[in-house]
Amino acid sequence: MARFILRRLSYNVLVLVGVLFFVHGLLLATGDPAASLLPIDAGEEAIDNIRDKHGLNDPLPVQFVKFVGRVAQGDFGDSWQHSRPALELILERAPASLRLGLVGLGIALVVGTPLGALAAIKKGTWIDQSARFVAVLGQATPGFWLGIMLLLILGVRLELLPISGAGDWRHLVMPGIVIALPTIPSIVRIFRSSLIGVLERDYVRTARAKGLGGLRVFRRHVTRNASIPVITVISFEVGAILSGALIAEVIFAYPGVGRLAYIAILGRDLALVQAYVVVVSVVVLTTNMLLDLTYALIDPRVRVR
Amino acid sequence: MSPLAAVRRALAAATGRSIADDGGEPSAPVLSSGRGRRRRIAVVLAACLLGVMILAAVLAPLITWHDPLDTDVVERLHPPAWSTDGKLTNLLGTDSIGRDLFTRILYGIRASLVIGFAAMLVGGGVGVTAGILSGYYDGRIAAFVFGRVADIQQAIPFVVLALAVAASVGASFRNLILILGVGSWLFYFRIVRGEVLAIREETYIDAANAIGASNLRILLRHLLPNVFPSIIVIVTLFVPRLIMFSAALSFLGLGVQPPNPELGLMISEGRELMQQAWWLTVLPGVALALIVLAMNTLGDWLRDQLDPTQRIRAS
Repeated sequence: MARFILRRLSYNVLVLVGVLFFVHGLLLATGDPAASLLPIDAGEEAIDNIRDKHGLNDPLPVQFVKFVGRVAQGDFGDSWQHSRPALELILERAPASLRLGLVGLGIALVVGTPLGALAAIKKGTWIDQSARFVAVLGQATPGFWLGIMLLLILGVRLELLPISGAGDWRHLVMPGIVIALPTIPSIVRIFRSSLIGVLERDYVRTARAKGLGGLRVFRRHVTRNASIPVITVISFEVGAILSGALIAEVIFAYPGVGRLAYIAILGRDLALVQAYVVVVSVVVLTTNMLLDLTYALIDPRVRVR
Repeated sequence: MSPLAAVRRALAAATGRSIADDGGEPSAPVLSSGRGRRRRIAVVLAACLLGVMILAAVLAPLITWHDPLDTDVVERLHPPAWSTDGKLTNLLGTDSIGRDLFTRILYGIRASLVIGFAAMLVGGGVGVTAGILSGYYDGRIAAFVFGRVADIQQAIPFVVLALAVAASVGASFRNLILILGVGSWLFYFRIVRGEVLAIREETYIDAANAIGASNLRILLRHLLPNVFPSIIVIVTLFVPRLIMFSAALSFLGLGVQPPNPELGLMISEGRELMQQAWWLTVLPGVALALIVLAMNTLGDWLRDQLDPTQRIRAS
């Protein structure tokens, strides 16, 4: 088991170095960073001074190694928009985004699993049909558009919910729905098909034959076994939730990491963008790894692979 | 934002890590005839809708006499024709500088379709080539390099990746196609590589080898035709996703640039006037949802038709 963990960990570190390589490449694609730091009429000498100061005259591999070294110490440089360390800015807003992400995930589960369960139990009936129709519809609805519609109807017309900012739970509802939207169809579909699979198993029939009540069988034997694929799907959705959070935060002016990064992207605040991409990929890699470890704990066969 | 989920799902399929299949399974032979009929109706409807949209997009200049970029301040903010203040000459109303919304939506659909298919060609070209190279020639190095690059790319959510790249290289119509296209290569790559690895072991490949067929001939005559159905399935499931991504990026200001008509961009532009002119945000969104809905319905159906294992497994 220790070897499995070590292997996964070291591979993820390698992937992360790759991400850093990509992020460093962003700098080159943006154009001469030294020129962008100075006024347009700055002389050759001034630009060269800046280049020297930031190590931009070094060969590229040297620059990259230095960059990795700095990042390893948690230093992405200062954001020019905020004149503060980029990582600090992100970590500061992380709790707000985490809260929002969890609310989104919670909404997705609360809406998705009952729909999936209903569809599976009433397989082939109109209930199944409508649950699957909801999934198809959810898949086709652009999240940013739904966000604006919610804003218009719930926020502006009915004045039920605040249209922007953060504060109490009411600020989390609409962005949460936008984040949940893309995940709901996957949860409905996966939970439905895995429930249908489990419902046909022998142990379910045995439990029924023992005379256990329908609900009890469902709770004890069916849902537990059918929820593993749902967990897998959620791990795939981590990226979707992070992207959805960015869009939701932008629409609802929610003070989280996504909005910070979006403003940084528009303002070409490279240090902040770099820090954001790296932090996001660390989140994705970590959740996926934790999930794999959970599988490995449950199922020894995974470890050998 | 729904496209990401979709990509993640495709990715699940691509990496083979998903435990259960994702809902395409209802088309199974177990279906009662009523279900099958209803599905056929849905598929026919979707095909008609998509056909009409493609036709409308291609023939846009013949359908409407307005120009999507033509402004006319006198005619600004007309509501759609069916409301009391509407004008028949502006079927879906006009925006804040008097551009005809119906015309802009038509051209927006056109832009979305062009971006979706062009990005698919780019991504498919890169991905299929990489898949065949690392699958057929068993280039250890090629397989290693492509595989690692794919792993690295997967660690960064698609929207984040696309936004960061768009901000660095500059946002434009062409860059949007390139970003979406190159960004989606790995889904084609994963699936094609897997297929090629399996097909390579088939007897007919050995036979072709034995009678002295060249590698190129085997690739073109024996391998590609057999991988083709899978490619078609990925394509039909992927184009709507690319269209959603393109709209989302344009909505965020890093895709198609104003004043060009693009559905996501139009939604973003209409946002400020949402209270006075609901049609400017609502209608482009409906158009976008309809394209994606029609394409997804067709894609799901096509997958079930072309991928018999799904049908068997579902029963």
